This record gives sequence, structure tokens and C-alpha cells, in this order.
Amino acid sequence: MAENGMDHGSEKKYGQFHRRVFESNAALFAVAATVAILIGGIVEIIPMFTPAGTEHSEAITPYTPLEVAGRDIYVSEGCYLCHSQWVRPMRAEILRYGPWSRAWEYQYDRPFQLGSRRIGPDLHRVGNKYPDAWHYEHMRDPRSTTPGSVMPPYPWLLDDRIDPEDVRASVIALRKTGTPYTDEDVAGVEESLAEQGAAIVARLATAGIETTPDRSIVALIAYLQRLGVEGRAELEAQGVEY
Amino acid sequence: MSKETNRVLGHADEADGIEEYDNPLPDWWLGLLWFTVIWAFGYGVWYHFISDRSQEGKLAAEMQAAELRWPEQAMAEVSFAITPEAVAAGEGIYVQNCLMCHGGDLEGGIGVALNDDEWIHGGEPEDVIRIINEGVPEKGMLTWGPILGPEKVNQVAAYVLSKNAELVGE
Amino acid sequence: MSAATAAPGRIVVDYDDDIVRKFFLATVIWGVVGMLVGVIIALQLAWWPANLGLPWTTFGRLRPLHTNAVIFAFAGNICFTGIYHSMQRLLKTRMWSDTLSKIHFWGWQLIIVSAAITYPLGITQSREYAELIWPIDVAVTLIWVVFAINFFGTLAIRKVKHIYVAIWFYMSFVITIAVLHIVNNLAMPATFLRSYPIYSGMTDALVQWWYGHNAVGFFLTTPFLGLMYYYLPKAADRPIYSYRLSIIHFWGLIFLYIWAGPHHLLYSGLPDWAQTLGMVFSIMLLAPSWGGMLNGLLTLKGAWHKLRTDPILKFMVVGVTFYGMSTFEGPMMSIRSVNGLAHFTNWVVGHVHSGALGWNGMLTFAVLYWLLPRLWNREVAYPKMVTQHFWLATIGIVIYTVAMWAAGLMEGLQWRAVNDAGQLANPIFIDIVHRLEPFYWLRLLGGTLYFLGAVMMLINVFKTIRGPERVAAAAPATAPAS
Repeated sequence: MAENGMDHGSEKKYGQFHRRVFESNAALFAVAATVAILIGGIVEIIPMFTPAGTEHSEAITPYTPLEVAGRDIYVSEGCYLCHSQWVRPMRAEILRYGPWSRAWEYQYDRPFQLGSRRIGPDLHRVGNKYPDAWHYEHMRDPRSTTPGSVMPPYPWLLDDRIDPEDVRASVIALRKTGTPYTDEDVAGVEESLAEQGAAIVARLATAGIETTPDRSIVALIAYLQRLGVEGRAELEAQGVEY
Repeated sequence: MSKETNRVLGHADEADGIEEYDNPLPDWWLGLLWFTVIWAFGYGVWYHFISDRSQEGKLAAEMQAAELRWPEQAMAEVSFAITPEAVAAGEGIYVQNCLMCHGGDLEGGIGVALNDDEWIHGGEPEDVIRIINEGVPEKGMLTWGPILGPEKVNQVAAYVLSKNAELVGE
Repeated sequence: MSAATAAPGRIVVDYDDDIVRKFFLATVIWGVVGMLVGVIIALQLAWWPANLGLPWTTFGRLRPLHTNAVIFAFAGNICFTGIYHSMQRLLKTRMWSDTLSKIHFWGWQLIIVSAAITYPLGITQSREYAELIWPIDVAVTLIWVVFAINFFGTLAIRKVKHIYVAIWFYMSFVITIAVLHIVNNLAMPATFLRSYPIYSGMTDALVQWWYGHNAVGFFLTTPFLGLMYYYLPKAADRPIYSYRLSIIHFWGLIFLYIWAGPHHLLYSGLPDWAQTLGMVFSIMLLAPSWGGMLNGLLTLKGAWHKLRTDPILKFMVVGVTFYGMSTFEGPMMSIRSVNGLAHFTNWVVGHVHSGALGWNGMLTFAVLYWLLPRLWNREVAYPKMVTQHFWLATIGIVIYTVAMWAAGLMEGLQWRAVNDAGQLANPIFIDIVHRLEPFYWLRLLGGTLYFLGAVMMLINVFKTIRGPERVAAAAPATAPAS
């Protein structure tokens, strides 16, 4: 061990260079570090806005106001922490959930809700899988429809109401981000909410469930029932099997 | 790590007394770094340009292999009969999967009632098996075929038909 | 310290240790809170009635509280503790502005409190690790700018010419977190509490995982390596093993880390080329990550005998070893086929916690215990308890990770298993969920042990700072007069 020390300048060439140029100049160091950390992000993110990035499809329509409200509830409750919306291109997943999830199916998803964990099953193809009444009962008490479920009940969704003005604010904001809503869509939020809500309420009534179109649960059902439906139909129309 | 010199650089007065050795990079570490870099470029070129792979290609190959291994007709070859064994097995499957929509006594609820002699989609065994297999998506009845498999579908159909016969009083 | 005198040619530096003590205590308190929430949500997975039937206490609302508390409150505050303490000493100057230091401290704690209020109320963006709503995001940006001004201001007034390696890592933390936070959270507000990202679908997913992965890289890795480069040689009283390794692994790490985000989106609608980049850059991250581990462990060469008696070095060795382990596991899990099995499973949770509990937690404890007697000029009240904390934490991590590995492998294999007819062997999802239950209890046990260790530290800290001051005053810090 030669700890005789004070051996300045005994570093390898690049050590001397690094010490002289970078370590003695904080500003230059900061600029160099910034360049180093920017490159990867630029190379990966910028192409997403070009044809090399994600695909777009006319087959997918923007969320209706009621679905927007339902999606807000999904986001608010943190559903993505237990449920993915992402069927992977693997046979076992396709058998369990349906066709794998294409990029264009997510085109109006803000924020994305792909999730990273499956404490419960994937939900990307849950639309039309169960009747509305199933979802109603499932949110009230998950164990009534799935014996042994470990999901917490969400009874407050049966009572909470959505506010049309709040939904309109969401639709306006989404429009500003680029979702193709028209002036009529914005003006007709209330009407659209009532109409789609009434249809769900009517379907629930056939199963003996009484509720009103402005309940949170109705909005959530509207959202869940459209998940993966348009995408699946488009894939079928294209003759794609899985 | 025989190349260690353990020679201090003498930077301590600018590092709150912390000294640094001028030891070289361990050879194996440098080897690991270069190996991963070369492997990364090699893999990228091989995946995209040499063997022209893709996620969709991989899935197509997996599906094709599965089709060869498990031909479709395997589904149809399981025989159907309303035997006590099949009914007993079918009851267990019913309780676990069907009860929440069709009720404990087939009285219905979220799903249609199965305890009367009204069969919307046909009441013959082949109709019932077909409905269970394919589901009624517009009404929320699942396609149970891929979930349960042919044997269990037959068993639960046996249970439903025998219980229905019992309830209707045939 | 005005009365203190320095040797000829040296000046007395009056360090601001008050701010360090503040961040220190915040670390200890938030650490216990964050881990407690972790224990609660672990219980919820094993036993669902622990969701309590209330909106505010469901797993979906509490999990972001847990992750944010341990990342931004516990880990964040220890980074600031260590940075404010070590950078003053490394640069031989007081922080540039005490006012900015205080704004940074109180602003950051206020942000944490606002997170703790909004999440249980269901006010969230639901973008993983970036759940804060836009007004709080704006606050984070402002506070970060305050921190950055103070940080670079301090660098500008430094009394030494060259910048030590710990500061390089701190600098990458300050810069990169600013870039990540701002780019990732660009959004269109709808109301005061809700906004929509300017990115949609897969692009939003990519941006968010670029952020999410590098939150690990630049919030939980680079500042902690900076802490290691200061406190490990201090605690071991040994020179850093290799200066050259510091240079190469620093630049390698910060350049390569940023690319690895797409490995969170393997087998998705993300274009294949982006998935490949995410995978291969993760593989290339292995050596630069291990460079940090090597420089830590090899610095202890010649000090191994101290390990038997010094619990601080014990924490450090286990922490650095877990860093090496999880930075090996991470690249392996980024390989397409391995990821196909591991993704969505508890294996990922185990991986995250071997990094968070093993690396971040253990190094944090080491730094806290090293600072405790020095910051308050008091003897540690219960020295034996430090060793007990070490063992509780270590056993806790081992139980936790083993349980999660087993659970993850099991569910990954059962999700994909097919029977003789080529159909799913486990078509009923809930059946698999039930088979995980024993592992969830085991995980709860491991997490509880780790949490109890942190509680012991809390007790030790508060007992110590209420104890009598050391009789002999510490010698004043001096620096060469330049």
C-alpha cells in the first residue's frame, strides 16, 4: 500500500481531463449532464408524434360525456392499481381476455390506464362481457357476483351523483388536448348524459334495480361497458382473429 | 484485481477529507460493460434486421403451434349424457360460476330464469351446450366454452337440464 | 461559532446544520408514516375487510399514499438531509441562501401533507408515481426551482476548486428530476382538482414510464449513490476504491438510465423498436450500476473488521449489496421473455422492495445513525437498539422478497398454464388470487418487521435528542482561506 499521498496528477489521462475540464467548472458539468440525460428521452419520445409512433384509427370514437364521467371515477378510485387495461399478445392472455390491446384503441385515453399490476383481472375487454346489473351488484358487493373476491365494496358509487357542469368542464378540457368533440358535443353534455344514463337505468330496471341516470355507478357502468368493444369490432371487421 | 495500486490521488482537501485511490477499473467489470454493449447492439440488429422478428410475428407463431397441437375438433369429441355423475359435477360448476346470475334455484336474476319451460334460445341439449359455449354477448352471458372447456360445459348443461326437468315436473 | 478561531491560513465555516436537522426529523417521521401505510395495504391484500368499507381507506386510494410517502417523503427528505449536510462540507461553504433552504424545507413538507390529504379523497391523476394533481405539481416545480437555485448558488460560492463525485450525483438528481417532472406532468386543467395530460394513450404511457423509471433512476439511485460516496468513506474511514470507476460509472449510469423506461411496456402496443430500446438499454445499465456497488464494497476493503462492531457499516454493506442485487434483477426482468412471465405479478413488487427497503432504506438508516450524534452533539441513547434495528430490517426484507418472488412466479405461471386440451388450466381468476393469500400474510410479516425497526429508530432518535449534550464542544469546521 503506497499511501504516500499528494500525488497530484497521477490519474489516467481521462481522469486528468475530467478533473480539469468538468470538476472545476460546475456550469459546464451541469450542461454536460443535462445533454447526457436528454438524449434517450428525445430519441424515444419524439418519434411517437410521427408515423413511426403509435397508430390512429377512425373506428374508435371519443368517450361520451357519461363515459368521461365514468372514466374520471375509475381514475379517482385508483382502479389501475389492481386492474390492468392491457391484454398482451400472448395466447394465454387472448384465451382469458380476448384480442390483445392495440395502440390505437387507447388513442383517446387521457390519462392512460394500462396499469402495472394484476391483483384482479385485466379489464381492457370487459365491455359487454357482463350485463349492467352484474356491474351494479359487483360494485355494491363484489362477493355477490364473484364468490371469494378480495375487492373492497364501493357502495358510495350507488349514492354519489355526477354534476353535468363538472362533466362539461372535462369535455372542454379534453377537447383542448385534441379529442375531436364538436361545439354540439359541448353544448349537449347534459342531454347526452341524461339519454345514455336513462338507457342504462332502464336495463338495470329489468333486473329489478332502481336508480337514477345521474348516479356515479351509472357513469362507471357506461365506461366499463365500452372498454375494448369498438376495438374488438374493428378487429373482427378486418378479419383479424386475435 | 492485482492491478490495484492503492495510490491515493491527494484530492482529500477538496473532498472534506475523503481520499480517492487511483485504482484501475476492474477488468471483469470493464469486460461486463463491453459485453453488454456489444450484446445490446447485436441483439437489436439481429431482432429487427437479420431475423426480422416482431411481437406480432411471435404471437402468430405461438398461435400456429397451438393450432397444430390442439386441433379444434377436440372440443366436440367429449360426449354428453345426463348421468348422476355429470349432474353432480355440474352442480359444483353451476354454484361457482352461474349461480350469481341465474340464481340458486335457477330462478334467474341478472340472467334469465332456467326453472321454467320457456327456452328463449332452444331447450334441446345441443342448444343449451351451444349457448353455454358461445354465450349471448348482447345480454351479458359469457362465452363459457374457452373458460370451462368442453367437459365442464357438458356437465353443467346436464345439471341445468336435469334440475329444470325436476322443477318443471316432467 | 464566532468565538472560535482557526489555524493560520484557514477560515471558520459556519455551516447551517439547523436545516439538516429539520430534514433529518422529517425523514424519520415520514418514513414511519409511509411504512405504516405500506403495512396497512399489505394487510388489505391478505384480508380485504381491512379496506374498512370507507371510501378514504380503500387500497386504490391508499397505495399511492404509500408509494409517494416512501419515495418523495422518506427517500426525498433523506436526500435533502444528506445533500444539505454533505455539500456544505464538501464545498466548504454555508448554503447560498438560508431563506431558500427554509422555503425548500417547508414547501416540500407542505406538498407531502397535501398529497396525504388529496389521495384518500380520491383526488389524483392516477399516473403511477405522478399521481399529484396539477396545482400540487406546480408547487413541486416551484419548490424544485428554489432548491436548484440554492444548490447551484452554493456551487458558485464554493471554497474548493474541484467538485467531488458525490456532488456529481446530486447534480444529476437536481437537473433530471426537474426535466422529468415538468415534461411528464404537462396537462390541460379541467377544474382546480382535475386535468388531462397533453399526451394520450400509448404516448402518455411511454412518457409516464420514461418518468416513472427515471424516478427510480434519479430519485432513488443517483442521489443515494451521492450519499454513499460521502457517508460510506466517512463511516469506514477509507479512501474511495477507484476514482476512475467513479467517472465511468457516473456518466454511463446517467446516460443509459434514461433510455430504459419502455421496459415497462414490453408486449404492448408500443412500437417494437421502442420496446427493443428499453430492453437493451436496461441490459447495458448492469455494469454502470454495479460500478457503484463495487466502489462502495471495495472501499470497505481493509475495514471489514469494523463491520462486526459497527452497525452503521452493517446497514451500508447490506444496502449496497441489495443495490447490486436489484440492479442485476432489473435488467434480467427487462428481457422480453422474462418480462412476459414477471410482468403484472408480485415479482415486480418484490423487485421494487428489494431496491426500496434493501438499498434506499438501509442506506438511509446508515446515514441517519451516522448523523444523529453529530448533528445534535449527543450520544445515541440506545446504541444496542441500532443493531437490533439492523437485524429486524434485514430479516424483514428477506422474508418480504422471498414471499413476493414465490407469489409472482406462481401467479405468472398459473395465468399462462394450459391443460391437455390447450385451454386455460386456471380459467377462474379468483382461484389464483386465493392461492396467493399465504404469501400475502408472509409479506405482511416481513413488512411489519421492517416497520418495527423504523419505529425503534424513531424512539431512539427522540430519546437521543432529548438527552444531555456532550461536554466537549465539537471543533469548529475550517477550510483553507482562498
